Parts: sequence; C-alpha cells; structure tokens
Amino acid sequence: MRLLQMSLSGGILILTVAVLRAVAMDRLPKRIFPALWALALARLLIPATLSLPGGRVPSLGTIGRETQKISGAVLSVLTEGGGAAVPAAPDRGPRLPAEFLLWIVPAAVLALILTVSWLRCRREFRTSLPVEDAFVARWLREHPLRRKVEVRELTGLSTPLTYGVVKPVILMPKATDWSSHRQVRYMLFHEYTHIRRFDNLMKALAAAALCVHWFNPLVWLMAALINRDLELACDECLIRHFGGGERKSYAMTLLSMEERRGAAAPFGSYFSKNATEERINAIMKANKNSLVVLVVVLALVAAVTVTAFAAFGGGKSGNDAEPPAGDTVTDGDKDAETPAERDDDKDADASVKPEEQLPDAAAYIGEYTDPDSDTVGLEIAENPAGGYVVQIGIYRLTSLTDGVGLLTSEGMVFTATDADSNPISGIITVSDGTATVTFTDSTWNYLPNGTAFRYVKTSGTPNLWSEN
Amino acid sequence: MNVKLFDSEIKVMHVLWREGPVTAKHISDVLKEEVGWNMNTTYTLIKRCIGKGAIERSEPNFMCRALIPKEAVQEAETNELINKIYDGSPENLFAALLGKKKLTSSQIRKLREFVEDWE
Repeated sequence: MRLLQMSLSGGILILTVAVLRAVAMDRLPKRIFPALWALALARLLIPATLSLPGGRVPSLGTIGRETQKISGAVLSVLTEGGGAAVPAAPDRGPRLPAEFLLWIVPAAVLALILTVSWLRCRREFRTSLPVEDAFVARWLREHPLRRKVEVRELTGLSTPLTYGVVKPVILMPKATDWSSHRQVRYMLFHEYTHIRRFDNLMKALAAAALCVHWFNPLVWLMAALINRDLELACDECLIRHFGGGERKSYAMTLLSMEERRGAAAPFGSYFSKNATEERINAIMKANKNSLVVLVVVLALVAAVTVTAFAAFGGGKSGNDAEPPAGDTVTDGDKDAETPAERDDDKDADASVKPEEQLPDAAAYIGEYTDPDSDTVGLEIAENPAGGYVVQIGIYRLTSLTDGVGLLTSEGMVFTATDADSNPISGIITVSDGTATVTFTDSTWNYLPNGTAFRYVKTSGTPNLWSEN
Repeated sequence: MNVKLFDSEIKVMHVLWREGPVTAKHISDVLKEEVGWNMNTTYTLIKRCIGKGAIERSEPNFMCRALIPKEAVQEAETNELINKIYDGSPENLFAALLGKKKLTSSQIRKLREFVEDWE
C-alpha cells in the first residue's frame, strides 16, 4: 500500500533527523532542523503520483487488485482536500475495504479534534485587544513585511505567540511590561521570525501529516520535535541578530516567562519544562557550530533522503546500489512490482532544496588593510577550536583584538570586548576582496550602532597581532 | 460585586455604559471600528457577558442593557489591583501614585474622599 510506503520511508527520515538532533544538536546551526523536517513532511504528504499525473493512470492497471482498491481510495481521499489535479481513482465509492475504514476513521477523528481545538483557540485569540504603545508602533514600522503584522494583547496568556499565516497576529500577554523595551524587543523579534519563516504553516502541515499517518509513532515524535526546533531556530536567529553579548539577558527573559507560566497556563502550551531547559542550553551554547559536523550531516541526510524518496517507488530502477532501507520497504509490502516510473530528477530536487547556503570561508580568512590610513586593519583567521578569530583595528580610535567570529548565511558575525570592557558585536561581509565591518550592537560612545568601516584584502594569510 | 469580567468583556461593557441600551449589531459596529473585532467575536463576548449576568438581552433586535454599573467594575478592578500588586494595602497604592506623579489638589481631594469611603 502506498500510504504505508510513504509512512515508512518518511519514518526513516524522521528517525535520521531525530538521531542527528540527539547526537549533534550543539554542533549544528539550529536552522537546518526545520529544513530537515520540511523534507520529512514532503515525504509524508506528497504521494509521488501527484508529481507524475501522466504516469499514474497506466500504472494502476498493473498493480495487484487488492492494492488497487486500497490505494485508489486512499489517493482519492488524499487528493480531494488539496484540490490537486489528479483524476479521480477509477473505483472509489461503494467498495471500501476494511483496512481503509480502519485507517480513515481514526484519521478523521483526529482531524476533527485538531480542527475543533484550533477553532476554539482562534476564537479566544480573536478577543484580543490592540496594543497602543509607541515603542511597538515604531518597532513594527522598522520591521516591515509584505504581510500586515498586528500586535495585540490577551488576558490569560503567559508567553507571546503568533497565529495566522496570511494575516499574522502577534499576541502578547496582558501582563507584559511595556516599559522594558529590551524584553519587548526580544519577544517581538522572536515572533517576527516565526512569521517570516512561515512556521505556523509548517505546524499546520505537521498536523496534517499527523492525521494521515496517525498510526506511525515516529510522526508523533516528529510533530513534537518540530515545535521545539522551530523555537530553537528562532532563538538562534535572535542571538545572531542581537549579538552573542545579549544571550544571557535573552535567556533570563525566557526564564522569567517560564516562572510566570507556573502560575496559570490556560491555553496549553506545548513546551514542557524540559523544552525550556533545552532552549536555554542551546542559547547559552550557541556559536559552537562545527563546519565538519555540518558537512558530514548534510551528506548523511542527502543519502538518507535519496534512499527514502527512492524507496517509495519500490523501484528496481535505482542507478546505484539499492540501500537496505529501500529493500525493507518494498519487501514489507506486497506491491514490489509497482512500475518503476518515478523520476529521478524530482527526487534530486527535493533533497537539495531546503539546505542552508553558508558563504565560502576562504573568502573571509586573511589580512585586510584600511585604504585611508594604509595600515593593517582587519585580520580573520580560523580558530582551530571552532569558529574564527577576528581582530579589528580602527585607525586612531581603538583596536579589538579578542573578536570571536561565526560564519552565517548573512556574513561573519563577531563579538569582541570594547575599550570599556563591554561586549561589542557586529557583522563582516566580504565581496570582491573588500570587507565591510558594521557594528550592530555597541554600547561604546565612539562606535554607535550602524557604524561601518571598509577594508581591502591584502593577503589570504592572516597574521594575528599578539595580545601583548 | 462578585462577577469577574475580563478586559475584552469590559470593552463590550464600556460601549453600553457610554451609549446606554443598544443593539448587539451596534456594539459590533462600534467595536469593529475601535478594536478590530469581527461580528462573531463581539457576539461571543456579549454572550459571555450575558452568561455572567453583566448584560441583559431583550427582543427585538437583540437589545443589550448593562446590568452592572461602571463603578462596580471599577471598584472590583481597583480591589484586585490593590490585592495583587500592592499587597492588599491601599496605602501602598497611594504611596506609589504620590511618588510617581504630581497630583492636583482636586485629585488629592478625590482620593481622600475615596479613602474615607473605603472603610
């Protein structure tokens, strides 16, 4: 049965990601986990026949009679809701096999439960009141999105949350201390990141996968982990945005919300104490990413993905050695003779798409000169312990010798200590041999936020200044 | 008064206190403008207020009338504020008010009357 195959190969992906998560969580950028879950969701929710409308019809004729009945009915149900352009299965309707009823009844019940509880929450959320706060209004102006974002407040909420995908609303607890701009900024930025990344859509898809694959415990595991990983990825984005110097105060903000939640949590929040602990740990340990681990992981996931997507076709058409996972799937099911009509291109696309693109480290490493004063002004070296060493000299002003850099998709984020011994951070971007250093989080009067300096690369070999 | 109204419900009550008995439709129109609620949301809240005995409904046109005076809700909210934030002591609330803002003599007189009525 196709559904079982989808569930099994999706399950293999889930298991892989869950194991990775357990083993290498601290060493990986958190953002890759939602991307990996998206891959698993795609595997669970997209029947291959949908990507091949032309190839499906003849294939049905060759499948065993029993399978045909089931998969025809299953497919029609799967596709009806989505309105996908697939011709109705030839024999749905009167002949509903017992297996099919066994599957559809719990799926429908679960879908009903989830929908009703979602509608109930939404009804409650809609009774929220608008927030009239000058700081929030300014913040929203400074963070425009194509969708209109609203900030409202609701009694009885203990932590901020976002609902709605098309018209997103950030709901803040009634008890929010609006005068604490720092905390409000963290909360808004965190929710804003959820909105920007369409995290609510992903949660809805996870709920859909849960209904379809209710019999698969790994899918339940995935649903729980997705919720956590979306939070972790947002936390990471926030730390990156505000600079590592603020991670402590951000962690404290989370803890104080956790404290308040202890009192009353009317709308069940999916975070157990454990999950908060996990978040705080991840926040405090951020920046320990290792490129090697990342490469190994991506290679592994790519391999498993190809396997999982290939396994579906039940194909003997694989152009490389058939992995054991594929065999289990096809053997476990009776229709190993499913025609090998799936397209390899589609599979390759799906496995490459969601991965994150980091800039080339070699473009950053080296020695840079300030063209105005003609003095060496910037050194970027790889730190054998992980990350990068960043030294910045600003002519006749100061030098920051203890910078710690981290390569992100936007550029190299760094944190150092300024002349007043306070943390100072910013971002370095390199293009065509010219590095731009922009300070994004500074308390030092002589380097206000947004100050930028330009340096020209003079050597690919860094020559670090000694501390003394 | 032992009815506990939430902020959103108080918002509904405010319309009735301000304008006297009006139709549910009118409340919905006013609140759509003021706080952006759609009709269903406002009707849900009106029903909750009816359930709590804060609003009386009569036909025709779903006329709504406030059963609880504004002062009763204000007093309940003040009591809650004093109990929650000021440790059950009105003196603490006064100390905070006096410490934070300059009060006019008429405001001080009103506060004094309020305290005298308290006991």
